[in-house]
Amino acid sequence: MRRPLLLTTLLFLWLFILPQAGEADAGDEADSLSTPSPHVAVLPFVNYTGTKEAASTCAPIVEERLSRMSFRLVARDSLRQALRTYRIRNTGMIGADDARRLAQDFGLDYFVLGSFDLYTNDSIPEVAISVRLVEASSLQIVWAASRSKYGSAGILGLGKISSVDRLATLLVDDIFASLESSFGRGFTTVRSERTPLYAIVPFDNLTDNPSAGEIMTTFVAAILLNHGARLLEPGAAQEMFRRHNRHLRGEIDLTLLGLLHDSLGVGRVITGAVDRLQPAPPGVTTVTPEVQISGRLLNAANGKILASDDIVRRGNDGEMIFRLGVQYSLGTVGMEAAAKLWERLDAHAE
Amino acid sequence: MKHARFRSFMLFAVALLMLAGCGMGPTVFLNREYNFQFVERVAVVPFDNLSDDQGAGARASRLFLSRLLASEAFDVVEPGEVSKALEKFATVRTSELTQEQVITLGKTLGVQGVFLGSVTESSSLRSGGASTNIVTLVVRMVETEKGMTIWSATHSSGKRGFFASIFGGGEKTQSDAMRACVNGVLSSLIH
Repeated sequence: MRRPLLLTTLLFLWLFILPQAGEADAGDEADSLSTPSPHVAVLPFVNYTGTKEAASTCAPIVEERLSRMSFRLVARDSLRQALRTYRIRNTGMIGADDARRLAQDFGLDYFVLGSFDLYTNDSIPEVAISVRLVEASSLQIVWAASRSKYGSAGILGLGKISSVDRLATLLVDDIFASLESSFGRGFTTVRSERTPLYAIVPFDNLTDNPSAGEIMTTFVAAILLNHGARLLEPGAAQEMFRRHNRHLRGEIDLTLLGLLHDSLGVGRVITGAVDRLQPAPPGVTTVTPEVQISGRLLNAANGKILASDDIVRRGNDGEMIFRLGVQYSLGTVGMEAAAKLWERLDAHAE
Repeated sequence: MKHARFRSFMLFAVALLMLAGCGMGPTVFLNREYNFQFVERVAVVPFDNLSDDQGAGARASRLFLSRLLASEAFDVVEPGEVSKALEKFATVRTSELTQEQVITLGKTLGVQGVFLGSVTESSSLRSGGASTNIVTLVVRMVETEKGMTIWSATHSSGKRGFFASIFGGGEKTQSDAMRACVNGVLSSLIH
């Protein structure tokens, strides 16, 4: 009597319980396999350097590095076709409408946008690149980096890099290692929703460099994010300005400020002007780069100017003795100026 | 006696030369009968550029705005609002707005005073191995009730002092000269 009962129980277990445990295991395994890598579209980087060589040198390095990351990238040809279809010409930023269309077509989680900011291929080369990761659904920038590398020699000529290809490779590795590190932490949004959402109106350009305004805008965006601010993708603001037929540089009127606040939830706007973005002449050690910028921080709710300042930064500002501490990299001096401006505006606004 | 007179004359001549090399402060007009307490909110109209240095007017405007904001002497209207209000005036030279236009601007922007200005000089002079950057600004404030000028200042900056002319050094960059000029102009209005 006991034996049939035992056999029945074992049969019952074998038929109904064990397979579910197996399925759970399989399910668990399936879950871990099905956890998707984010689906990412990499828009062609904008070239602010004024030289075609910058794009032809740096773009393949960026593509190769991205292909090694654990993202599911949209195929380049498919993306280009979509950009043509939707007539998206300015790939340095993306507006809400374009983002929605591309996200729907490709099932996107993020966009990667970037620019080649500085590029010199002299005896001492310099490369500066900016990259940002934008969440497709909210158009908030979740990660950004603006970095530059200068091939200067250290003491006794040690560490000098004279190949611009090598310099660009090191810079790209540096930038995307930072992105991988952030991705590994899951892009946890540490920025409190209680902090205001910032928008940047592109900086005005009063220099001879035709892209100085755009370059400084990307530097300031990266600085803001690295200090924990929430930042709206500049393309979203530009899309709104375009709808109202306004091409804004370095200023904004109360109507558009109100729209940014009411429609996009922007709390503060930062804008300014680049008065000087002067590199050091090649081979001249007595002249250093000079950057002069001014900026304002506005309250988007009432249009009040919360803070204003202007910064002059030169490569010899940190000079100690025997020309130690002198900075010849325009990218580094520019980023220091952007950081100083943000520090002053943030301090005055509190 | 002759030696003493000669010495006195030489000292006087040197003193005159030193004073001449130091440069003059701003030339200022201030309407002392106007109650400046009435001016709480102002607008800065983009400065005209009458120099050969492209962009000098815009740079001077931005610097002036920045310094004015830093002084906290007035509430300042965002430049974007000023640009929008100026669109209705088909004028090339903003420093030549008429009295009626200034009054209209004041009502549109809700300001009691408007700053107008020009960069009349922004140049670099070379002498031997040295260069001197000179900037000259003319700025005025117009009250928006009747369109009358209540303050104006003209200031040049960048000229080298007596000892710098003799012994060298003291060169200012263009941006330093512009900055010093703006500070000089504003210091005559705001202390």
